[in-house]
Amino acid sequence: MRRGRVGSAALVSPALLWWAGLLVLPVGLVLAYSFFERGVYGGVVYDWTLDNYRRAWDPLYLGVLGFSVRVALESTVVSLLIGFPVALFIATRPARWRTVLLVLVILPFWTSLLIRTYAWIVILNDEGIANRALRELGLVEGSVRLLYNEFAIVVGMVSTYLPLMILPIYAALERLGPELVEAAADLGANAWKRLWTVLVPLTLPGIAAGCIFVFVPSLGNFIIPDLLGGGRRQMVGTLVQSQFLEARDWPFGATLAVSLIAMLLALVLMQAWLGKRSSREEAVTRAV
Amino acid sequence: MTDVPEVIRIEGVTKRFGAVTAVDDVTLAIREGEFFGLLGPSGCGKTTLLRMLAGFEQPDAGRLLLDGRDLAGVKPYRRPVNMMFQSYALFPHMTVERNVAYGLRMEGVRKREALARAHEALELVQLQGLAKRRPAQLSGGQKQRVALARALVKRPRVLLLDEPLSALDRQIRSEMQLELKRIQHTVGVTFVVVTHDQEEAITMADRIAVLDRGRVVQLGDPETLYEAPASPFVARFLGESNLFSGTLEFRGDEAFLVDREARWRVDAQAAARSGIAPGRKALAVVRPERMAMVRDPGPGAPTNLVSGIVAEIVYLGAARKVVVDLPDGSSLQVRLESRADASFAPGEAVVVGWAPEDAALVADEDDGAAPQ
Repeated sequence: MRRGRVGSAALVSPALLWWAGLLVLPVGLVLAYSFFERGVYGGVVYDWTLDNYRRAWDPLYLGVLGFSVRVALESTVVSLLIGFPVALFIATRPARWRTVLLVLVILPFWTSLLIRTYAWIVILNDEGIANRALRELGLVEGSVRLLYNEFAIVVGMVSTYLPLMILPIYAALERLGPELVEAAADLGANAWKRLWTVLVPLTLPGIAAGCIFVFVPSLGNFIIPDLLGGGRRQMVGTLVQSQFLEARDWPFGATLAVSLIAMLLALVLMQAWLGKRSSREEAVTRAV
Repeated sequence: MTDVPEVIRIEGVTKRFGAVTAVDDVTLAIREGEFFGLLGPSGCGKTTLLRMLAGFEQPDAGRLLLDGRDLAGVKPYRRPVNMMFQSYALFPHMTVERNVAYGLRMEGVRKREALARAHEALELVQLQGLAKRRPAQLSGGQKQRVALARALVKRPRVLLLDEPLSALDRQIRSEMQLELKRIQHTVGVTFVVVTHDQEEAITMADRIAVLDRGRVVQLGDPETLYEAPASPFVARFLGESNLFSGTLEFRGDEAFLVDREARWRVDAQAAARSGIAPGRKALAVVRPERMAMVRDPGPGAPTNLVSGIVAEIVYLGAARKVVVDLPDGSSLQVRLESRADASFAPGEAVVVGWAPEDAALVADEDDGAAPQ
C-alpha cells in the first residue's frame, strides 16, 4: 500500500513540478508583491501594506474594470451568436466533413495572435478592405471609423476566441445526437421551437463553458486593446501591463492582477459549482 | 377487404445512400386502422421506409401519399404522423407529463388542456402515477409506455413504431406485444411497426410486408406468410423450416420434385397454383411441426420418407426439437409434442416423413422479388 502511494507520487511528480514551477510560484509571487510598497525610483520595498488594495477601489480603476467587463461581455455575446450556429452547422454535417470543419475552426489558433491582430489593422483602417468594400457597395461616403475604438477591440476578441466558444458547444451538440431533435420535429416543433425547447436547454453546460472560455481571456487580454483600441481606452490587461512595464509600479500591478484573478476564479468556481449541482441532481434521479 | 380505405400509399419508392440502395422500388398500401408490420433482417430498408414516412428522409424516386395527399416537401412537423423511436428519445430535461404534452404544446394547445390530455394518454398506457417523474427515473418498460403516450396524444393518422420492443427484457416484451395490440384496438389509430423479430410481427400485425435488400418479397397476413411463403427467403426468415429441393414434374394427376437421389411427392393442385413451370427447380417447405418421426415406417407412414440419425434433442417444455442428421450431411428439424414419442435418444436411427399437403412450394430462385 505504502509503496503504491510512493510510486504514484513519483508518477505525478513531473506534473506537480510543472504546476508548482509555472503556476503556484509565479502567482504566489504576484500575490506577495501586491502587499508590498513601491520604491521611490521603482523597485519593491518589502514593507507590508494594504494601500495597493485601497488604491484599486479608486473610481478611475473601477472605470477601467467596468469598461473591461463590458468589452468582455460584448465579445462573449457576439461569439455566442456566431459560435452556436457554426457549432450546430458542423454537428449536423456528415461525419467525414466534421473533422475537416473542426480543423478549419482551430486553424487560426496556430498563427500568432500578433499577426492576426495586425491583419485586422490592415482590414479595418480608413483605407482598408472593409472601408473600400463599404464604399463600393455605396453604403458610405468617405470612410467610417472602424479602427481604434471599442468595435475594433470586440472584433479582435471575437476573432481570437471564437474557437473556444465553438468547440465546447460542438461537443455538447455532438453528444446530444440527432434523435431528440428529430423527436421534437416529429411532435410538431419547427426549427425555432426545436432550438429553444431542446437544443439550447440540453447544451446549456457547453454554452456556459464556451462563454467562460471567451469571457475570461477577453477580460485579461492586453495586446488587442492596445493595438486595435489604439491605446485610448485602457482595459484591465493593458493597465496591469503598463503598471509593470511603464509605471514600474510592480506592487500595484500585482494588486490589479490578483484582483482580476480573484474575480475570474470566483466566476469559474461558480460555474463548476452549478455544473456539479446539476450533474449531482442527475445522479440522484438516476439512482431513484 | 378492399373496401377498407387506404391511409398510406407507397408508390415505387426508392432511396439510395451513396452506392447502397436502401429501399428499391417499393409499392405498398396501408389500410385504415390496421396493424401493419414491416419485417426484415437488419439493413433490409424497413427503417429507412419508416423514416421516409415520418419525413426525416426524402425518397429519390416514387411517391408517398397520406390520405391521397402527396407528402413530398411536407416537413416532419407538419405531417399528421407520429413516431415512437427505438431509443424512445424522451426529453431528459422534462417530466413525464411535459414529455407527453410536448406535441400538444407545439400545436398551440393551452398548457392546462395539454396537461389534461397528457394525463389521459398516460392513463391509456397505465402510467398515471408517474407524471411528475423524469425519464431517468423510469424503467425501460415505463419509458416505452411514455414514448407511446407521447406519440399517441396527438391522435396521429398513423403511428410509426421503430423496433418498439427491442430494448425490453424478454418477459416484458411478450407482455407488451399484447398491450400494444390492446392500445391499438382502443384508439383505432393505424400502426406501422418495423421489426426484425418475426415472432413479434406474427403476434402483433394484421398484415406483414417482408423486406429483403430494399424490396418487398411478400405481403400478406401472418398465417399466409407462415403457411404459404412465396420464396425460400420468407420460408427461412419466418419460423424454422425444412427445405426439399428438386425439379417439378407432373405424372398423371400427381406431382413430384425430382432430385438425383430422391423423389418427393407434392400436392398437385398446390403445384399448379404455385405457377412454377414443370421442369423448373422448386423447393418444398415443411415446418418442423408438420414432420413425423418413427422408428419403422408402417402402413400409416407419410408419403415422403427419409432416414437419418438423431443428432440432438432439445427439450422446450411444450415440445421437443429433434435434429436429425441425413446421410448426405444435411440435417432436418422435427418438432414433437412433449407427451408423444419421448423415447427417442441421440444416435438412434429413425425415419422422418412428411405428407404432400403439409408442404408449401416455392420457386428455387433466391434472387429478385417474388410476385406479390
